[in-house]
Formats: sequence, C-alpha cells, structure tokens
Amino acid sequence: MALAAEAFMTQLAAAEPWPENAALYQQLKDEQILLSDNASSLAVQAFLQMCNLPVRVVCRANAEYMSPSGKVPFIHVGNQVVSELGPIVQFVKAKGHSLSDGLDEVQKAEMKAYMELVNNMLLTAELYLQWCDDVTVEEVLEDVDQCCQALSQRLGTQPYFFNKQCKGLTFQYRRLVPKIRPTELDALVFGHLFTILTTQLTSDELSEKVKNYSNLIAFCRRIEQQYFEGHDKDSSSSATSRSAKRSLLR
Amino acid sequence: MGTVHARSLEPLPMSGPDFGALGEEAELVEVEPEAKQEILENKDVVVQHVHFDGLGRTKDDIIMYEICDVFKAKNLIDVMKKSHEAREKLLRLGIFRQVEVLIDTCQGDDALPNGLDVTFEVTELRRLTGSYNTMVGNNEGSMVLGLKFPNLFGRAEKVTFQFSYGTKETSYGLSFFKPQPGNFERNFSVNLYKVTGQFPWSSLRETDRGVSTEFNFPIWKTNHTLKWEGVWRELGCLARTASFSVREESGHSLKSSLSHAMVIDSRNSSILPRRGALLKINQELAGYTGGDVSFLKEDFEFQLNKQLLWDSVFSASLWGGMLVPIGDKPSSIADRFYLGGPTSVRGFSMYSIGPQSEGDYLGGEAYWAGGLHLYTPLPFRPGRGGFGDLFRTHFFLNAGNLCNLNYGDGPRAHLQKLAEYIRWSYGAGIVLRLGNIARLELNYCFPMGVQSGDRICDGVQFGAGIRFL
Repeated sequence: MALAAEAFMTQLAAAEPWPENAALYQQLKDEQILLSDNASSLAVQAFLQMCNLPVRVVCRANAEYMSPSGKVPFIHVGNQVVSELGPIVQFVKAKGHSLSDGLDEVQKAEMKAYMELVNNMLLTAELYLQWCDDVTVEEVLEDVDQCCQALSQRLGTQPYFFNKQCKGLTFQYRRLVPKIRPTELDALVFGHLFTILTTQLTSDELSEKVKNYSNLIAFCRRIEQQYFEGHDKDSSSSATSRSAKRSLLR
Repeated sequence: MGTVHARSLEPLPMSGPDFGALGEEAELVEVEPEAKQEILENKDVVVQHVHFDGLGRTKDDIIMYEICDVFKAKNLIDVMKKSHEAREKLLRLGIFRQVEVLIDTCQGDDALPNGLDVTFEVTELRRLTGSYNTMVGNNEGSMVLGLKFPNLFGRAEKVTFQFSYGTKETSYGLSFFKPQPGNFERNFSVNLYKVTGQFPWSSLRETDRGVSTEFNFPIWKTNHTLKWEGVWRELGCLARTASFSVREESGHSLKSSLSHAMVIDSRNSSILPRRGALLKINQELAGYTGGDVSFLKEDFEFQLNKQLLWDSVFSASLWGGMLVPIGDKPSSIADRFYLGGPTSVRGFSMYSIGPQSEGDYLGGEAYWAGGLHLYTPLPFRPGRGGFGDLFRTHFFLNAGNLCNLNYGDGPRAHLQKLAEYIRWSYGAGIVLRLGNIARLELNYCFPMGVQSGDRICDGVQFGAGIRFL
C-alpha cells in the first residue's frame, strides 16, 4: 500500500513545475560535515546547477536525521523530500529535466558503470580516510589511483565525459559551436574530486594522487568556473567560499 | 468506640452465715455476688512496654518513630486509637504485609497495676516480589514485568524495576526510593528510564533516555516536589508522509531541567470526588543546568467539587499553561502543550486542536481549558449498593484554546490571542470508576467553535485515563 501511495505521489509531483523555493539540506559546513557527505552534497549541487534548477543550500545540524533515508544531502521540493544523488536524478527526470536523455543504451550503461566506479573507489577512500587515518593506507590509495586513471582516460581531452551534442548553439572561442551538456556522471566526479582536492586533511596523499592527472584538475576547474562562480556573492551557498577550504583557482 | 466495661478480678466479700450440709432446715440466704464494673474509658493507664514480633531486616529506629505516640496514651480508648494510627503508619511504609495489634495488661515484676503492654505482630514482605501483566492498548499489546525490592536496607528503601516489551516499542525503568525515617512524606527518589512513545496525531516518534532525582516534602497542607531531570531525547518521523515541520524536529537533543511542583488536594477521592478541591502548580526551567533546550514552562490545574441534592455532584475544572523559550532557538515539539481528546476537550480527536501542518499537530506554547460537569447516579439507579455505584451519568461543558504567543507583545495581547477562536463542546455520557486510579467514559459530544485544521470526533467518544478535564 505504501509503495503504491508513493508511486502515486511521485506521479502527482511530476506534474508540478520546479518551485522557486527548493532547498537542499546538508550538515553544517565548517564544523560538522564529513568528507564523504560533503562530496555527495557537492555532486548534487553541481547536478542541479547543470540542469539549471535553482536550489538554495540550507545547513542544519540534524540534517541526517531529517533525511528519509538517513543520508545527506536531501532536497525539499514542494511537498516532496528526496535524498541521495540516484533518487534525485530520477525525481528530476520525472519532472522532465534530464542530462542523459540523448545518450544511447550503451552510453547509459557505461555512465552507470563509471558512476559505480566512483562510488566504490572514491567514496570508499573518503570514508576510510575520515574514519581511520592509518599509516597502512596504500591499498586505498592504489584504488584511488586506478579510479583516477580510468576517469582520466575516459575524459581524455574532451570537456565532459559524454560529449553528446544537444539542441542549440553556444558561443565559444568567438565561434558558434554546438552545445555540449554534461551528465550526472560529471556532477558526481566533480563532487568527489573537488572535495578531495580542496579539503585539508591530516595527510595530503589522497589529493596528491588526484593531482597526478592534470586533465581531471582542469575538468574540476572548468565546472567550478561554469556552475559555481556566479554564486560567489552569496556566501552561504557557494561551494567555493568556505574559509577552511582552499580554492582550486589559487 | 462506646463504653468499655470490665469485671474486677478480686474475690468478692460474701456476707451471710456459714453453710453446713445441704438439707438442713437452716435458712438459706442467697447472696448475689456484687458485680464490680468499672468504666475503663476514664481509667488512667500507662503503656509500659511495646513489643514487636516478626521483625527481620527492618531496623529499629525507623519503627520507633512510627510507634512513639503509643507511649503517650493516657487511657484505654487513647491506647486503642494510637495503636490503630501506629498500625496505619507501619502499613504505609510499604514494608509489612500484615500488622496485628494486641493490647494486654502488664505482667512481670515491674508491672504497675494500671500498666499495659502493646504488642505489634508484623509480617515483613519478602525481599523480592515480582509481577507480570499484559496490557492491550491502541493497536498494540505489551507485556510488563515488574520487580520490587521492598525494604532493601531495613529503612523502607525501595528499588523497583519495570520492563515493558510491546509490539511497537520497549521501555524500562529503574527507581530507588528512600523516605526519611520518622517522616514518610519526606522522601527522595532516583529514577533511570528509557521510554519510547508514538504519537500518530503528530506523526512523531520519541525515545527518551533519562535520569531524574526528586525530593518530596510537605509544608503545612501542601505537598512539594523538587526535581532535576536529564533526558536524551531522540525524535523521528513516524511515517514517510510526515509533514516537513515535524521532519525538521527529528534528531537528538539533550534536556536538563529543574522543576518544582506544588499540590494541595482536599478531595475525598481522586476519581469522581464528591467534595473538596485540587490545585496543582508546576514550573520547569530547562537549560541552566546544561542541555540543548532552554525554556521556562508553567502549568496549573484546578478542580472544585461540590455535592448537590439527590446524590449529584457539580465539578468545575480549569487547566492552563505557558511555555517561554529562552534564547533564539524555537521550542521543541516535545515540550509544547497539546489539547483535545476524550480526556481533554471532549468532542475533538486526540490532541487534534491548534497549530498543525499537513495534518500533523505541532502543539502550542500556551493553552487553557475548562470544564463544567454534573455527575448524577444512573437513571432508575440499577444495581444500587453494588456494581451500579461504580457508574455515574455525566453532563459536561468543555472549552479551551491552544496557540502560540508572540512574546514581544504585552499580556493584554496574549489574553486576546487566547480568547479568540475558542473551541468548546457539550454533551452527556456515562462514567465508570476503575478502582481509585482510573475511569472510563463513554460520551455523546457536540463539538463547537471548530477551526479549520482541527479534527473532531462528534457523536460517540470513548475515553480511558487517569486525568480528565
């Protein structure tokens, strides 16, 4: 009964347009949020920015208890509360916004695979580091290195992971070029890599591993410039204006 | 008690000639023995000894306080009265199963002619008593296991442990109680507990783990309680569809509060009293001894009962309260007041009056509620003198309001806010008294003054509880 009711509610919600007052909830920025939660939150923020859906970030100390699944971040849109990147992507898709529409089945499967890779390797590394800062961290770093290598190879010299051309033209390098849009994989990778690169931890080994791949750093910088620069003035919601974190641009 | 007569035990002087063998033609003179009756009511007696039979682990000093009055008795009636009072005091300690009193004249070398011996024969309770109950409530059942150690160290200390395991949640509590020897009404207790509750009217689930210590003491005719309580509170949503306002309150918080309560109770019974009044005033200050929540909470309860003609009783009651958060943080849903239901303003659903969001009731920071009742015996008085006396017919008028106040405004604005949108109801029903603790009610209600957002229960409403408006 509960599942049917939920499905019904989702259908109803799908019909409503994206409201102005959508909010994303996470823990307090400077003193509470953990590495992995920060990465997840940043990934969702990047994704929503890429979809052009406005959302304001609200920091609450009890965010993880407020979340229906116990995980952050979660968004409060209209009457609906949805948590974690996967369900949020589904929810946004039901409202008619999607970044991976144009991809064919093979590409979609590939995207899913890469997202799983990021979740398994990078997320695990973050969790390991924040809970158990051990000297014997070589295995974790090995995994991270492999993951970054795979991502770097897939990215190559392209701007995004899947360079599907979509409708419309954009002005770039004094020419009109076909618009290329990022996908949720780009948001997820950005979230994790940016957090790893900019959070001060007790050891720099993790960020050093990532820094070996220059195209990944360029990728993060590009996304930061494109989707988060405009919000610098609003200090409470910017990903780049945290005092404890260094910006990539420095 | 009446007049007490007793025969003297001395041999009576007999007057008359000596008798020889029967059958002689001597004149038989009948002598009636003169009964010497004394009215002992006024006879001075001295209680020389008080004996105790059956004491095991109970210490002497605590007993001495309870029976010292017996020595002060001056005559026999007084001795009997004071012994009876001492028996009541000993039973009240909660350490004896049985107390028997025996009064006899003094025997022995040092016995005075008007000396009396009083003997108390007591049976102590066992060291450990247990109880097992099953309880059935709203859509849930639970089993309750109780363990009690009465008279743990010999001075009426008591340790109780209660464990409740139910289909929905598990709760337990451990409590240590110690009265002051000689002054049972002065006592203190320390409690440790974990209690979980589900509140479907707010879609809220609450788990409290806490420790509290309280002192009770009487001052003249009033009873005071001073309590410190520290609770770790965990709030959560009961359903996925809980409103966002309730979702925002989820999480953990710590409350450390000092509270004081005063009770004056001159009623003859706490359930369906016939006369007397009750006044309870309670205040709680949280936040100054630690914790996350900071507030000052006041609430009072007043009840007046008067017997009218033909065995009917008129009762008026008034409840009210106010919660003032201290500091910037808003009040927590777990501290606010709730109104409505079969034990509160009848005709409305349980706690379903006042501020709400998407069908979840959030409670309010200020409230008042009043009730006027007329209790009469059942019509045609069936089962009179027996079962029928437990039932009463009941006509009522209830009213109340629950809202949030803007503490910046003055008292006049507060009163105005509490006076607008009054909910009220009237009706009639039957009340059943359950022992001296609880009552059941079945009423037919007409709710009025219903505001949008309130949930009503017009028509038949059933209620069970220990505290009714």
